[in-house]
Amino acid sequence: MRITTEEELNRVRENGLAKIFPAKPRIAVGLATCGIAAGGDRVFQALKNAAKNKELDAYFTKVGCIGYCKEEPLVNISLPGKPLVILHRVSAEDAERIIDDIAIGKVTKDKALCKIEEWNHIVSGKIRYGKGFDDIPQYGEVPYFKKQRKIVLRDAGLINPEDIEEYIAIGGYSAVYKALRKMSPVEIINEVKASGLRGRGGAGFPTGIKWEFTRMEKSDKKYIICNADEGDPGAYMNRNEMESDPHMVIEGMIIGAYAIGATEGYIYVREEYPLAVERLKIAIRQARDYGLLGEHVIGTDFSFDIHLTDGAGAFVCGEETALIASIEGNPGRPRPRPPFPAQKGLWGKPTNINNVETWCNVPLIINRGGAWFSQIGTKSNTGTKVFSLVGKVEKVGLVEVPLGTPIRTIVYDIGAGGIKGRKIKAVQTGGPSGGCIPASLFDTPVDYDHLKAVGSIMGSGGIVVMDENTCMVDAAKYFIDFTVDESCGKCVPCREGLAHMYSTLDRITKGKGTLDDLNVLEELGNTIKATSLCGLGQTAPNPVLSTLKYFRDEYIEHIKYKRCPAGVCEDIVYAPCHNACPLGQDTPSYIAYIAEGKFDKALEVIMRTNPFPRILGRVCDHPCELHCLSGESGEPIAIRALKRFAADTAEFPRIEIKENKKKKVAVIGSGPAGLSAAYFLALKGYNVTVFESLPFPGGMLRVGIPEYRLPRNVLNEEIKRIADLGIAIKTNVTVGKDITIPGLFAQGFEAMFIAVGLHKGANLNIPGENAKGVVDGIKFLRDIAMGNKVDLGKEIFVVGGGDVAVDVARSAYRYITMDVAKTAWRLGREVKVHIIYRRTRREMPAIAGEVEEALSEGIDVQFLTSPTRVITKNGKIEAVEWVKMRLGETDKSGRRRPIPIEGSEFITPADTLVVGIGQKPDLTFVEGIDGLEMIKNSIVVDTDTLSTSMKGVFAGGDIVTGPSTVVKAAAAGKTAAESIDRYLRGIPLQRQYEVHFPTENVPTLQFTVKELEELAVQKRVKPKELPISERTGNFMEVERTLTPEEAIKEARRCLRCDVREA
Amino acid sequence: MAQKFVTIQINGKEYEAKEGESVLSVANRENIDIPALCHNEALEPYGACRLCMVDVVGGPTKKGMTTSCTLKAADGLAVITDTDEIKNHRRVIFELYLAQAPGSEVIRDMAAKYGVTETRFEKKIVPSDPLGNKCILCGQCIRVCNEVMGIGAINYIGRGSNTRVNTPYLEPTSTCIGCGACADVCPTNAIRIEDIDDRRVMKSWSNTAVQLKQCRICGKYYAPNPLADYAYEKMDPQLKEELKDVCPDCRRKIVSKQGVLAKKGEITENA
Amino acid sequence: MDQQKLDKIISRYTLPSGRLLGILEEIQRSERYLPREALEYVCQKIDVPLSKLYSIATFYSFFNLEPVGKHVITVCMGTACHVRGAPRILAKMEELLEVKQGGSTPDGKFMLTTKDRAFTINTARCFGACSMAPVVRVDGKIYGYNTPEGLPNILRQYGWRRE
Repeated sequence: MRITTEEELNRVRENGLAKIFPAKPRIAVGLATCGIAAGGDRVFQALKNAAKNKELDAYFTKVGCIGYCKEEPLVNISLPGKPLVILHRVSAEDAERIIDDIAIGKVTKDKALCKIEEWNHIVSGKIRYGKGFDDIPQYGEVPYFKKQRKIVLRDAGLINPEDIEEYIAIGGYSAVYKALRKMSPVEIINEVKASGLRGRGGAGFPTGIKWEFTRMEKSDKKYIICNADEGDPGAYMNRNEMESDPHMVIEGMIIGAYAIGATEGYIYVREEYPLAVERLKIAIRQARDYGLLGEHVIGTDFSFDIHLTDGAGAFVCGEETALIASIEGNPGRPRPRPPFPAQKGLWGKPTNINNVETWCNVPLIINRGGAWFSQIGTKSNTGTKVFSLVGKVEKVGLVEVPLGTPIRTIVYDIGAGGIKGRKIKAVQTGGPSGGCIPASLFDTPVDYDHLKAVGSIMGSGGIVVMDENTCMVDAAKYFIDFTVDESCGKCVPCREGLAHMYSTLDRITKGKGTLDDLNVLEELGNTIKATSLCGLGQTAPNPVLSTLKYFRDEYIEHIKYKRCPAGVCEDIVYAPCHNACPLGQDTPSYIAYIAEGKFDKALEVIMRTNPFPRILGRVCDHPCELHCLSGESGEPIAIRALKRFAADTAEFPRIEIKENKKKKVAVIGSGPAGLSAAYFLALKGYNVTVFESLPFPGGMLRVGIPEYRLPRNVLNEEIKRIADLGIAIKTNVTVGKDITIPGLFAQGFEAMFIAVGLHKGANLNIPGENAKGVVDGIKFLRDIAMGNKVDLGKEIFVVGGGDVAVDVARSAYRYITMDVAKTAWRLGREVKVHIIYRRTRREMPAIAGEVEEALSEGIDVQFLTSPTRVITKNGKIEAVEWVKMRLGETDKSGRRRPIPIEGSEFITPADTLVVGIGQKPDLTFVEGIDGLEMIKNSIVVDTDTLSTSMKGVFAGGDIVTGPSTVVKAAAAGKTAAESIDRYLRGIPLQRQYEVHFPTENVPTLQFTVKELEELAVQKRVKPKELPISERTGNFMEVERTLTPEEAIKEARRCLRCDVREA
Repeated sequence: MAQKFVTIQINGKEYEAKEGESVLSVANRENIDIPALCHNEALEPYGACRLCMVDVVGGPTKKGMTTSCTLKAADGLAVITDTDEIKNHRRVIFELYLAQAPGSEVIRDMAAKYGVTETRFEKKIVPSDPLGNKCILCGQCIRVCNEVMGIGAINYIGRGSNTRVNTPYLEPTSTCIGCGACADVCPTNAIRIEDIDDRRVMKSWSNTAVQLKQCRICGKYYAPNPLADYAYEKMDPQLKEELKDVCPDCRRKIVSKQGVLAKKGEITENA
Repeated sequence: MDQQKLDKIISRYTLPSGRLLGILEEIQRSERYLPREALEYVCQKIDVPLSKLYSIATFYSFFNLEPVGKHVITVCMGTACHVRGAPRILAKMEELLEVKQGGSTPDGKFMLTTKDRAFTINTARCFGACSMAPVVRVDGKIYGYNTPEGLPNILRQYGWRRE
């Protein structure tokens, strides 16, 4: 029926409302592209069948996508008078019980995501579904939706995109009525100008002004075009807008055409969007049938029709003049501007082109007014924007927020942070025309102007999240590869320049780059930006220039060290695990040997670069597992546990030291760095003496890491094995006190390695911190390790979030319960250990596995809290005053600064306050020497050679880097040994870095198809552990070594990333 | 409508120009040096070579760098042709040209004029390139063939850095009329055409061979058949029948003989 | 391709806007590539030089000038898929189907076809299904959340067998 009057419009509206409120259950399945791909059509069929079998009379329909892509398939259940309930992750198997529930007036609770009691469709008033279902959370409570504001996506996922009457029911086409019947073109344009709407395709040109340009031109014919070419990979906002609510695009175009004076409109849709084309076709046909397109739109004198034209796979056709050329039947080569399309566009006539989302905003602006629109967002960036949040983020999907929302909110609050809790490194905005923004700048508001200021652009709205497994050089190369491929080829800077940028980047990712390449990239990039004909060329260098600006060190790492820190660039990465290991362990080979049952060979491979695998197999923080490719889609291989297995089970290979170099080297400190240096120096035939100030060797391995993680006997055996190489370990000798460094030189030592570590705790610097009962965490761990008596009460608070704090807490728990058995009946109070951290779980630096163990042992962990003062009585701690924190701005490390919340102070009684917030050095060793350069509490070294400012003196480990890990200390020892060797041989210390892949070449196992399928779903092994109930009152080792069966089974999961095709 | 004249400033000096004329045209006329390769007065500005950039420092349009072939003269417009920024960008662009068309002396000479004799970029050398590694993809040959002559024998093939110019399917085409307009406009003399016996061979266009007309008087092969037919059709007034199928030399002889005879009164001219 | 069918396609496009690309796309969808005879017929019928049609066909990624295999596998190489491991999916697909890398047709398009013409692999820059990265499309059906290990299962549905 053709609509010509307001009454007719209202009648259709009533028809539509009767479908939205059909007086019987309405079951709507999300069927946009992702919904279908996730199995939505099968769910639809299953529900229909189940309803038929149950003889349930229900209204079935399809709807679009509400943007929560991760939770597809989604089903809306609307029972008369009740809230609309969105069910998520629905499978065909759920259909029966869903229908059963509906039949008795219920909704399937365990499938319910949220409920909607009323919904604002913005153009009209609210749609009221009903109240009830108190136990189902509200839509606004769902973290993903909480901070979104749906204006463009106001109908998506709620109405049937293939039914114009449902669109009219929620207020659709009332803006067309208002505009064409009650407003003049000039009034319309003024309203759009007042709204501040800027082009949503990316350039951000004020829409009202653009319309005005085209309107002002005198011509017998004008056109408007909707740019639905959405070529940015990773961006699919427009696709959803067209698939879920095609009528809002049409309505916007009708209003625009009227305002501008155009009679023909085209929607140019990329051919990769067949469903969008389909839905638009249906919508256009319906609009014509209802008199909204064609002759006499809505009964007025204005005639306007829309036609669809397909793209054919060319990103450049998103550029206005290229798009016009394409519609005219040419390849999409841009034309120089001026003349602008507003003057000479399609077929030489004045043409106005806008992006899909721009058109979608128009009906809102007409109905609610430009002033209303301009209140959303910020002053010069008004309204909302739909973003596609994709990549290495937990909640991938479509997000609509007001412009000016910080990146941080989108990525963390809505997106729930990095996948598997990983750290996010950067986001890329604006597609191939945009730039990479590092985590330290996540406070940046997302809008046209701010993103441009940091070297990116907002573009059409794609936000790609990148984590530590993303190589920024590879990312830049990826984007240039894209733009090289998509460049139309017309102008020289873009066509030739980008190709040369690509080959340069390619060389760098293959370890063949030079530092001068970086200058060439910048120079070439700037010229391409300044001189290219169209927007593609003018923005294509952005990813390179922005990564050079913010991630230059990654480029340098590829060039100077021929290393890819993320483990991505195949030519210089043997395997991501090997690449991530500071000791360069040939992990694929030893895992392959374990899989074959050749445990001795596995240990032999391990021993080539690992001085103490039984230790590292227990305490290493395993960066290898973080980069393990198995972990990208499932669980990483349990590499640490496998290493431990090989070291605990197989026989250590005999080591022959080939030559005795007779030169004496002193190692100061017998912690992991010192022991490692001694080991590798001894292997090279040097005469090594290790000086240790404590009565026992081991450093932090002995006095920092508790016994339940690293048993005393294992530590002793490992140290003995190292000492048996002929290394002398002198305990109870403090360098700087008992002997000085010059003294050591005088004794005939020709080189020395300072690895004294950080054995003092950092101070809290709060009043009362010197009271009895306030304990240095480092000292606490040392006392426990040495068997000294420690005074602990019953309410023990541990401040800090790193491994020290967690080790302290778990040790305290055990230590106390060793006493409790004797004293509990006397005191009758339960022991409570608390860890108090000033940031949140996400920022905690402690090893995740350790934190989980602490929690399972019943240790309480509190976040966003910090101590302000210690309340004492007679010089002893009685209570602690705390303050609640909130997270403020992001600092350079990418973490948010904790800020005290005024007035939130509270006091708790406390027996003990253990401080585990940082470490400082004991600087005794410095006594007697002159000229050792230090900065704050660290020794300054050349990072490549570890040489200090004193000749013949090298340093490494925590004393150089600050608190770090055992494996990094071991790696420092290894590097120091190599440097000292070069020094003593009189050759230059600085090495030339080459790409060296291990050559073990262990053949791959052959699996049957059935075995492969089983391996694909096999879960990661979990080593057996001491039951929690048995952990009180002792320091027995918690984790067990894997059995041979467990180890072989786990090792077979390895994907053998080291194996390449012939 | 009367042609309006405006005053524009180039490098600080004032010049008169027709309103709407391109700044590049004005510069060429006034012998101000602005390099260009894809510009042709007979065609719409194309904007491909990116060499003719100038910096707009005053006037009604947006400030900043833009191509002078598309910049239209208007009152108050002021540009500078050789800022440091333009010179630097131009040097890089010439390096790109040297890498793209290492076989072209025209490019080498032009680049040298602007101080660029070497390129940091890898040279593209295709062993048996039908365009002698001289083509810069400026598109003039295509535009002349398609838009001016209306023939369309050649066009771009592919996209981006894979683009080249040739006949469809890289095969000889019967569409070509052998006019040679492509070779005439080519700024780097990349297009090779050779008349061999009774055919004109477009060596760069997949060796498309166009049959030549033979003069019925002297027997010389003088013009491609289709070109002659094309030209005859477009002539107004039409060429006399006796002058068709006759080579230019012979035609001259006939016409001058007729002219002499006319003077002598023996025949009337243009009979 | 028969002339009647071509005439029918041509007659569907009466407006000049979108006509050329529309006709070519219908031929591409119907034949899965652009046969030379079809192009020659079209250029005659609508009076457009063959060189222009050829230029269009080689410019846009959607068109193939060579016949494709029975099933067309398209691996998405968009940004979201790239950071989620698309290159490995492509490499595994090539390995499973035993086609050599670096195969592009004379017009510069990336297309690899198995010897028995059962499968053709090509790439696309984005289907807009980024939430399910990495994405593979086989004959129009989209598969998401792919892993290299899971590919044999998909291929088997189209008649592939591992040697």
